[in-house]
Amino acid sequence: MVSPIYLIVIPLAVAFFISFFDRLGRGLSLTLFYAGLIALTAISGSWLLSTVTGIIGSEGAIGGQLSQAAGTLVFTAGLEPPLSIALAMGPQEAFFLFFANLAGLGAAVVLGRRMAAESVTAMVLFLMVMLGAQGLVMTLDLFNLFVFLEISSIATYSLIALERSRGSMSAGFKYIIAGGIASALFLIGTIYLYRIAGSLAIADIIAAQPAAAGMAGVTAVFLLTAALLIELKPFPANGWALDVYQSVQSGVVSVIAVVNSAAVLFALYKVFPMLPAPLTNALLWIGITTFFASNLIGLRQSSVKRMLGYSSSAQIGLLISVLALSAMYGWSGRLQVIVFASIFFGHIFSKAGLFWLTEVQEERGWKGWSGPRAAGGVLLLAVFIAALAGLPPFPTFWAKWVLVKSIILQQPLVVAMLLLGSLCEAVYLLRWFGRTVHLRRTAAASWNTPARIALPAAAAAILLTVGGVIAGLAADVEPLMFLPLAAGLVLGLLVWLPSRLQGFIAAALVTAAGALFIPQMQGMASVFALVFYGGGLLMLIATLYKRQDSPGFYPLFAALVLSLGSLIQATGLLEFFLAWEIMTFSSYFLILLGREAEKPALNYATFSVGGAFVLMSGMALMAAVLPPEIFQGSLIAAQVSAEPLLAAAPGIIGQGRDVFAVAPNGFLGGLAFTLIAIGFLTKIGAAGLHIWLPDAYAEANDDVTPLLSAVLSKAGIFGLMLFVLLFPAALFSWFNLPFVLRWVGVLTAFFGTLMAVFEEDIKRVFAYSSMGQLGYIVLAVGLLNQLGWTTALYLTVIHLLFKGMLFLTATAVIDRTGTRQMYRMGGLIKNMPISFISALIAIIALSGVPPLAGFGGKWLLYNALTANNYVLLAAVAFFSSTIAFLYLFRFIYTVFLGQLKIEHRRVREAPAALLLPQVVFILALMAVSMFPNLLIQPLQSALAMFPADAGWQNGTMVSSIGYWNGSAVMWITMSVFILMLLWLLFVQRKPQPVSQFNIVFAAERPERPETTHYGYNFFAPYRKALGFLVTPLAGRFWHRIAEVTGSIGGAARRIYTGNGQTYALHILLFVTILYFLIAR
Amino acid sequence: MSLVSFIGFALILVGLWGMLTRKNIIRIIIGFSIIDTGIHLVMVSIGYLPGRTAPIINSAVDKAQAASQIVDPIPSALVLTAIVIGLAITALMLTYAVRMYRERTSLNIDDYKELKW
Amino acid sequence: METSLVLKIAYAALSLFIAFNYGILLGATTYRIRARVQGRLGIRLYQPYLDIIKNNAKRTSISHGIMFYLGPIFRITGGVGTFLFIPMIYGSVVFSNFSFAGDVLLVLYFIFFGQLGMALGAGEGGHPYSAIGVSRGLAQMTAFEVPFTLAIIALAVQHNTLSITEIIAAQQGGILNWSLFTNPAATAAALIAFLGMNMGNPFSVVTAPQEIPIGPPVEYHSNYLGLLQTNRSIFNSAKLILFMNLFFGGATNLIVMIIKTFLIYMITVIIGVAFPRFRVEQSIRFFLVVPTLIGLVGLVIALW
Repeated sequence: MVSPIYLIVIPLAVAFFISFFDRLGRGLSLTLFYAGLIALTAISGSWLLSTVTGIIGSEGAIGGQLSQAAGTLVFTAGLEPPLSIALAMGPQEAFFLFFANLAGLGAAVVLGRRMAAESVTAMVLFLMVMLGAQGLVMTLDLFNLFVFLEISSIATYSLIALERSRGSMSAGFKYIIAGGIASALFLIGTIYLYRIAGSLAIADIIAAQPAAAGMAGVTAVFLLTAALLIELKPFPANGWALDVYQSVQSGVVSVIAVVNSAAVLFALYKVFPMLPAPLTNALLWIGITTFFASNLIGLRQSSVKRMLGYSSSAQIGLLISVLALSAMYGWSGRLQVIVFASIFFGHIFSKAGLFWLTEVQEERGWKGWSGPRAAGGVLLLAVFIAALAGLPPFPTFWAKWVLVKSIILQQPLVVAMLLLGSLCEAVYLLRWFGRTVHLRRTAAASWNTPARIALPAAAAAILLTVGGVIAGLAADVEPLMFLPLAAGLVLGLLVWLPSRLQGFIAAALVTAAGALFIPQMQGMASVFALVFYGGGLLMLIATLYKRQDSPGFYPLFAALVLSLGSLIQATGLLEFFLAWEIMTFSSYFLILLGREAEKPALNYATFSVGGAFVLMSGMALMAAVLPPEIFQGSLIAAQVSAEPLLAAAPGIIGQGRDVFAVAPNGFLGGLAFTLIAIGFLTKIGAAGLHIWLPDAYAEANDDVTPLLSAVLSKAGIFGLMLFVLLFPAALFSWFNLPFVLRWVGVLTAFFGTLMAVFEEDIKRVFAYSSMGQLGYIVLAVGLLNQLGWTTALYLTVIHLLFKGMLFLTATAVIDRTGTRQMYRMGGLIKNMPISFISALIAIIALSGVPPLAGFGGKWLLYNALTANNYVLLAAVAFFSSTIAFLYLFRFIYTVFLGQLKIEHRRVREAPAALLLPQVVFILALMAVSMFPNLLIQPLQSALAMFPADAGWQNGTMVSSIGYWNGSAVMWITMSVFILMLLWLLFVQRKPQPVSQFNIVFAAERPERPETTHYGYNFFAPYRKALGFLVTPLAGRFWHRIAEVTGSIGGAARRIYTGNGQTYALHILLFVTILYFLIAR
Repeated sequence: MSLVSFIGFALILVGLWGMLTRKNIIRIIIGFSIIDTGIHLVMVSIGYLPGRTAPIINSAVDKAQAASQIVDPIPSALVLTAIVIGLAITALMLTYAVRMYRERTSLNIDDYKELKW
Repeated sequence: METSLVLKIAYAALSLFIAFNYGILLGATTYRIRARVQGRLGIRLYQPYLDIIKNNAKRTSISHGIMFYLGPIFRITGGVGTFLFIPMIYGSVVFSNFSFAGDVLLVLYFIFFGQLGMALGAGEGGHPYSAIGVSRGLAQMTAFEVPFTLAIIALAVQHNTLSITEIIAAQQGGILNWSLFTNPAATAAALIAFLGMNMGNPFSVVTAPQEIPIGPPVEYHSNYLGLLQTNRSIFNSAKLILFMNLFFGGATNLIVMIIKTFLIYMITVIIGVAFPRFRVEQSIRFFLVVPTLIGLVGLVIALW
């Protein structure tokens, strides 16, 4: 093992000799420079390897402060302290140093061109920055800490001074002022601590317990901490840092943001044990406030680098608060590793990667930042942004989950700030990403990523992915849960194949997964598995109609479909949430592929991420309230449990009954369930939370929307039903949640349907229609009895069939006519007869008219509602279902009937790939219509946990109040229909075929098809009568929320006046106020 | 609190005052130097023990009883280091001042506010 | 009560025949009453028969396409089907039709079958008046279904059944057991909805002759029109029988049925000749306020 002293010696020696070698040639000095950095990385890496293998399995070893469990101590000059300096190298030191050095090496590669072009000083200074970091991490001596801090600071100031850009000088000066104040505080603190402890060794000072030694001790510790804290850029004393981030070249910034911050953070970690409790507490709040406020302000940033600066500041704040939390709750071992190490690791590489990528075009704001030209560059950007935003499988995802789960009961406010801050961060990062993707598609201004950036960035991305998967496995997630990501990755590597071939491979993957997993499912799970895999496969086949390539499409599509399957496979809350997040982000990226999808995708992402955070806090709360043994059994077991779970609500038997029986757990359980329900309802698009839905569905590519509507939207339904089964008692323990659920459902049905009536855009019509149909399902779920849940499952399946047909038809006509406005179409029945038949069957089914299967859903729903005396719900539901006729007729009339436009005379039938799934859907629908018991009976047996409340007599379904024989209705209708048809054929002589245009009205001949097709604003009187109901109140509400949030962020950032003296004042006030707060 | 440390703290406050109120960058830098000096005085005063001599082994100190005759050497050593570092920082700040003046021919800190928010 | 399928079909055909003729005569009577009110003599009672025969005997006809061709067939299938799912005479094997196939919900939704098919057929006719008529008809339909649904839900809750036969059974044993008296509010709401359903004044804007001559069926002629006329009489009978069954105690024999349905029908006729016409948005607002409130009262009564 190489002695850690070489981590100090090597940069020092190289920095010393490099000027001499530079005289001999730049190549030589560059070689030496990189060799030195590689050596640093290698030495720290070897220590990481040995210390980690030394302690694997021994819980707690990592957590101990300054633990020497598997490390070593070295003393300079061979003497014991105080005559020499002690350097420690343990697992934590190795971890911090290795990754900081790796990031430093990456930054050096990115800066390669500058290093080659400028004077050798840059290399020397870079090495000195690295030297400072090594010392800060390793030294065990307080004064030494000061020296290394100053070394790294001075080197950084000088590095900034080498900059050429305009603002960098003033930014650097502000930095020096801040750093100067910090060193002053550090020195005073240090000398007083020396006076109290009589030693400068950190361990001795900790042993002397200075905080217990009265006010002087507290003050000394405080000054020391404040100094380190200022270096870590807490809000609001961080204006100088933001200016530096904005003005200095990205390569250098990545060093400041990553290497320096990591080292100072470790220094803070070392002094943590000497902090008094109030100070620890204060650090928690400072950290989380910094996280929240910085991300809030980040929303208003136009400069990419300043935005990243705010994000950087936020992440460090989060790390500070995690340190404080570990100290407060005595976290150790795996917990600390997963939370702290994961956030640290995720921050280092995602932030470094982002700064590196912005090195080109760094002057631009995010609105004009067009991004890398190569698809790989966009992928890198996506990885870094996903990692920073805490999406799976990246490390921060696991960390946030564990963190929230660990503290939600003790520190709910911290959790709230954490999640709100994370939401803001996700919003501005994804907004930037969406803009980049958009610009890249529309403008030619994108750039090539040079290898000096691409290579380190790719390495960082790979590290993030691998690290994330390792963290996930460490959190006990089944490897199978990574299947969607693996499938996406495999298909992503096959991106060079022709698009159709990729599609076939994706279809094969989905088929294989379905064939493998569906037979393992039972009960309700198998219904959803069939919907997810079967529906996903058919939609995948439909996408094969496309003529042009779309890179990334099939990897995302496959990942999305498989993640839906993973939702069912999940055996624990974390796994469920993992699948949920994979589904969320893969669908976000899919939507983003749409031509005009920048804003809709952002809206979708905002609501999805927000909903996911609400869901996560609910699940974390649930996990915290319930005893852990409940999670021993898998979720699957709960689904198929034959025990009648909901025999008598509200005194239901659930695994959590005893827990919820006593307050305050009852309240917390109810709160948890409410949060969970809100999370799912967001994905379903319940009224009020729906405003993302129409735009996202409309602007997603035409081959994505069918999947979103017919398949993906069922994920929320599945989640809702699953969690009701898991924690039935929680439904009633706070307030009557099912009551709210029912009303939310029926209002969603009503408003969704009504809004569909007034749309001209075919996809928006069906988007709102989906919303309405899902409203019925939510209503049915809220009934909590077998008939209600049979309805819910029945509608889930039937909705897949008819909405799949409708959206595929819509895709076909949009593809053929080139417009989405229905009134621009018309008379397509003769050109696209099969599509027309599909649309016809679908609208009959959706409207619930017998004899097709749609009526089954209506019958089940009204029986379930009326039998329970939910009369108002039934009335509103019925009203909504009649309104559905309006948009359905309008769709089929304006598109397929009426006048054919001249430009559409040559339109052909839809491509076979689009028709094939529709034919499957038609056959399935007709089979279910003919024999309803084929579907309903299995559903009833899947819901055996409820007492049976409807039976079968010779093909007649009998509920407590009504009866229905689907087969008989079908036979009678068919017979009458055929009789009448035969009659007409018999009595009528051959009618003369004439065109639609061959008409006369009011003794006038029509002029042109366009003026004769009654299509635009079809229900004008209806709008007059009921239009006021579709005032976009929810849209305005959310818009206002977004505006207010942005304004608060905008107001908060006004404190950053740009004046160095004001920044100094901020720092002093920050320190003074903090002092009075903790000394109180 | 000894007189020396009192003077030290007073100097720190004077320096801070100068740094926060003067607009001229050179004066701000001078304020910094004053703060540094104050800190050095405070540090020295911590290690000072009445009636003892400087921690230098020469004719004035009996080698055998050096530990009881000299003041604590560590603060003095720290001060020496701090002075060196302070010097470096002051030099760097002055460099910045020169470069900033060359860029915009102004030494007023209010003229360097284009980075903000 | 086990009856062979063939016999059932024969019985159904018989009751269909009766309903058809009854409906035609009822329609003719209406024309006569309306004419008398306006100071005319009116048509002869057999005139509608002649119309149907004439239309079916036309020598020429045109078709705008398959959906256009199938529209009237959908329409009459809807009418006949609706009729067949309603028991005509309570307690009669002969006149119970195919009511075993489903309850009142089936009837409620099957009414839409014919309307939807007709709307589609009219749509392919390509005539803008058809589309305007359909637009108005559908819009108005959503509105009058609200009070109607409220009334039916009220009955279902009150009698704890959705089966039409059982609802009739619950009203037996005296006039005071009729829904008309046990739940007058629900009955009133349903009757107002019935006015809309029949599209007579004041809710006749769908086929308003002055603006959009005869509405959706504008392009239909010859045999198509014959089918539509046949359907109108059957469908009218079906609706009347449904109302009689739900609110007026049903009928135990044909005579009672004829008297009751005739009287129910007279309500529409009298109101129809006495009132002017609403615009679409006016009738929507009307249906969603007055009868809906009455229907809600009916619900309260039912839940009491």
